[in-house]
Amino acid sequence: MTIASTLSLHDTGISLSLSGPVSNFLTKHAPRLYCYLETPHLLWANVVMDTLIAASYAVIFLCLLWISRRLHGQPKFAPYLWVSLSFGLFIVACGGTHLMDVVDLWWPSLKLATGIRILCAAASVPTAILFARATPTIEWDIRRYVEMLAHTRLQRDLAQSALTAAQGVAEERGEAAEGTATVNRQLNSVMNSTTELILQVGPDWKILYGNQEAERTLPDFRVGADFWRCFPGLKGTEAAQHFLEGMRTHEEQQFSNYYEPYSKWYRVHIFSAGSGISIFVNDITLEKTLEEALAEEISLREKHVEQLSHMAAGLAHEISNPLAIIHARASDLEEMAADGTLPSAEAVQKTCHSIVLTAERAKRILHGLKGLSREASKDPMEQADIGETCRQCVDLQSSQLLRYHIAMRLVVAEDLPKILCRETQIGQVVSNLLSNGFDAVVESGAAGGWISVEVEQRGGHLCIRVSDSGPGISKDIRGKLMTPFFTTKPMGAGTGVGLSLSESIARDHGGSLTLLEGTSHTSFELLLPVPASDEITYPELVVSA
Amino acid sequence: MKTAAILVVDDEPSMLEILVEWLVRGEYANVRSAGDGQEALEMCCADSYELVISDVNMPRMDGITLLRNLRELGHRMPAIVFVSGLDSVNRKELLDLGASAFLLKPFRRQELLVAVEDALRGRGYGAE
Repeated sequence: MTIASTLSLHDTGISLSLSGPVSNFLTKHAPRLYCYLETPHLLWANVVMDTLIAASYAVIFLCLLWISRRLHGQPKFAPYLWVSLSFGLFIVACGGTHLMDVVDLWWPSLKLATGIRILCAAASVPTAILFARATPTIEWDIRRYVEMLAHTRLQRDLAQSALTAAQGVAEERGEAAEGTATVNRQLNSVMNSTTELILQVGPDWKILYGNQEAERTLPDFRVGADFWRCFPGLKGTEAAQHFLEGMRTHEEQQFSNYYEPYSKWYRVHIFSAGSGISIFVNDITLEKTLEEALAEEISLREKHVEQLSHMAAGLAHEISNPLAIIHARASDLEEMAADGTLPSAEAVQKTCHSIVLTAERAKRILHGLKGLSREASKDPMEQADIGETCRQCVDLQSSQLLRYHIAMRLVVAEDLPKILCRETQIGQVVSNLLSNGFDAVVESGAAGGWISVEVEQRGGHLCIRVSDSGPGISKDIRGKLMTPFFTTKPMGAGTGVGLSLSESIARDHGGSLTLLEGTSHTSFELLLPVPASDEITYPELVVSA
Repeated sequence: MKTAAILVVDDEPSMLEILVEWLVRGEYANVRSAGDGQEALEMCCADSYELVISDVNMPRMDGITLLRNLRELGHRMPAIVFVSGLDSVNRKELLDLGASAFLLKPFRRQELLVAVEDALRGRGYGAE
């Protein structure tokens, strides 16, 4: 029987009216609502809880369905797809029973509720059975998955650590590389800031490095080239031995070398560098030039000292002898006067004349010494009687020549013009020639030795010729005579700057000093220009007392 | 007059002339002179002398070499040597060679005559 039911729930405020086909599912007993009429809060609590449970089940089902759909293509998930589906069905059925509990409050439909509950039981039992059977497998799979996950995490952590470490190393390497580059730049800067030439040569003699100074100043230098090909001028030199020794023994080498192709002096320092060598080179050409100039200056001064010392013993003797003679003559007269035994006036006059002559001799010696002992290159050019100059030079040497029984011949032409010159320097040249002549004659040891000085005018020149009876000068050394430091005298006896200096003085005066050819003896000729009478100039007024 | 044969040696003719003159005035009648050591040595070999008076610094043969050669040849006469303050002389060597006296130039006539007398008497003038 179909009844039209009107339910009035005055207490709940709900009023439902059902009719039509729906009413077919309704049973005849009263809705379960009535069970709660006495306690409406229980009613609504059940309604709300069951609705929430049903909704939750629905959500869980939808989640399972979404997961199943997403993992459908995964082979590993295939064995669990049925679990998901049956569990989903079970969940839906459970939700349906809860939903029916709500519906049943107003529309008692035990049949439908029972049907759904049967469906739920049908879904739950197989699900429980299948799940129970699969539980060990699921547990094992889950464990394996968890372990795999843990392992993966460990691997990930390790990888992360390795990555961090690698990044650190990379950063350090980067910093190190940057540091190395900085050091290299600084090193290059230092290498290039020096005036020293720096080369590095490998054990195969390939040039590995050269600083900017090397590139700038060595035209043949090229990195990568063979060292010996770059510097062919080294072959066969002492410097080459040093390079070879440095490469062979790796011992430090230091030397100075004149490199012919560049016409320069270098100071070279070789150090061991790995299997090759480092070469530090300083251009010391200027230093050498200054050294040579200084040595020449010192030698010139030494020449003055030498000239002095050469004659010092003799001169000292010559000074002390006149003094002894003067002293002897004067003391003799003094004693005779005291004793009252003075000889005749003529004898006294003779003695006094001897004293005067001896004193004048000493004066000439001192005058000559004065000229020899000083640097006269800065003297002003003055008119001078060269014949008289030569006479003084001869006087200076005469005592010494006499002691060695060497004859002295001085020939001065008459009416010689005065010339503009530094007289002291000309005197030094003549004294030097006389000194050399004296040495040559004494060295020859032959008896009857002689020295001659001839002064004459020849054309526009005053000619002073100094000759000696010495053995002459061999042809092979004639060309070197005027070279500074060349000497034929024994070690310590001569500096070899006398003729060089004399020639230089002659040139400064516009003249020349030459060794005459075609004579068996030694004969030097000093030519000094005689200015034409209208060319004579008087640079300064010289007033002599 | 004193007859002792004296040889005076000096390379300076003026000095030689004065020394001979002083000795002659000192009544030494037998005085002869030589211009250097070589000449003196030859004269000593040719004639006998009781005293040699010599300069030290001379060409060809100096005074010390002269004395050494005389001693080597067996001549034992006394010797007087005169030197200048500039001469570098080894006095010990001269003493070893039997020099009786040193005279430092310049010296007076009387100094020479006293030295000569002492030397001829066999007493070394200024000898230690």
